[in-house]
Amino acid sequence: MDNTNKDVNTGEWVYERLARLAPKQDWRPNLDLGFANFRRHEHMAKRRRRLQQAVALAVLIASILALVVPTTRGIARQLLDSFYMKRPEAVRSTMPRSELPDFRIEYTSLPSIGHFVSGMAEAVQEAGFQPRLPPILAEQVASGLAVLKVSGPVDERITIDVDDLKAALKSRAIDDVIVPRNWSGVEIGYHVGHSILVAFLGGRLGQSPPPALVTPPGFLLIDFTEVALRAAGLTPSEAHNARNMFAESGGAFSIVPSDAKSNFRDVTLKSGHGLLFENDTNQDERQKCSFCPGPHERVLTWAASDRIFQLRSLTMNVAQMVELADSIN
Amino acid sequence: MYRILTLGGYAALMLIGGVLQAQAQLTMNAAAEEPVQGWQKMEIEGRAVWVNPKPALTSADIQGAEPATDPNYNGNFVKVFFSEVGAKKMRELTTAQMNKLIAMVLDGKLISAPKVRAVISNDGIITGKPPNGLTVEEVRRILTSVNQKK
Repeated sequence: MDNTNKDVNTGEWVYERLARLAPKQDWRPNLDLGFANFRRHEHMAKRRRRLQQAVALAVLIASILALVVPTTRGIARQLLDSFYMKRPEAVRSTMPRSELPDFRIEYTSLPSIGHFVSGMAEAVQEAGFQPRLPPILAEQVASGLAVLKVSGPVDERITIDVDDLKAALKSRAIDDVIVPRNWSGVEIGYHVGHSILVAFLGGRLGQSPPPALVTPPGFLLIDFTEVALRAAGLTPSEAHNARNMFAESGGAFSIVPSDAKSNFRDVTLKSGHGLLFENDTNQDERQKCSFCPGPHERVLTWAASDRIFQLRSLTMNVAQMVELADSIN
Repeated sequence: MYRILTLGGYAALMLIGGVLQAQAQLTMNAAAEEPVQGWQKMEIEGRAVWVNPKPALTSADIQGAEPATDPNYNGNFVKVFFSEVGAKKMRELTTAQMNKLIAMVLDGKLISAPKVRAVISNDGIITGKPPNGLTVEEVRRILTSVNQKK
């Protein structure tokens, strides 16, 4: 059978088709429409940026507690306008990490990975406080088997933009939340002093004076937290639960996405409450939440009256971690 | 990601009574499996290694080091973080020694002689023989060499 298309000049055909798409002779570009479209796209991009900023705001609250370097953050005991870590808490979200917003925090002084110091005296001099170590680690530091690092301080400040917050809520079709107009321009500051880290064969122990979250006197931080967490994607019940935990913890809580494999639970320490995360998988979950562990890692976070601690280990079992924590005077 | 400096290298530190020497010195040198004129013959795990007597890096080129344990693979090991100058030297050393040996020499003794598989610059790890890795004393001496040099 012959090919019925064999005589078709495809080049001509394409040219003809394209010619039909050409504008008429009297066609003129509609500049108004073009500019309107441009403005609309710009506006959408701006809204997206605002949403990201609002998310960053939510993050400040949600991740408000990490010891900068080995990831512990804390706030607790509520004062007039400052909050200090009281007890670490975590809440499991029903949303996977991919659906939670990307947390972005802007720092006025950046967190660092810390630097090595030659010994206890230098650590004290640089950090401004005397670390409280388990006797066995103090001995290891003295003999050179464990090393000290100092990091920080870190300062963050975020200014609330009510329009951004409303836009973030609207983008999630949330219409049952009232955002007070007088929140506009309120600055929330976060400060953590130096942290001291001990790296030893069994893991790493970090400690820091309680970080402070500072707001204008009378500002209802807990209310704001609930709203910001709704904007960050939590359900009403999750946000309300997180609000209560925030109040209980002084802000030292972490949102654990639904797809995080790590388990977490309370443990009892001499100093009170501790929060233990355990990761039995090969997945590194440290990017998923403030307290989440690396592969096969356990993370124990707890607070004493004057500081917060975080112990990370690949090799210690829970009893050993608790024993080490309890041996700190 | 920390790169493994000692690929299957066996640590063989000989420590005397566990007594620390204040002047512990760690160096990293070019090395070879075959004799090289002017290079020093050393032994590790029963095999001969020829080590360039001129160190490519010393403890002074390492900003800091910390101990760690990987229960699943390396056992005890030491993470090392090179200074800016040290990172440059390490990059040059591992580039020049690609698929050849580098020697980790602690207090004049060869503790490891891994084959270079990748260019290394900012940081790395010094491992021992799996599954236990470096002994506690080896870890202590490396840390002492690096961290107490100030």
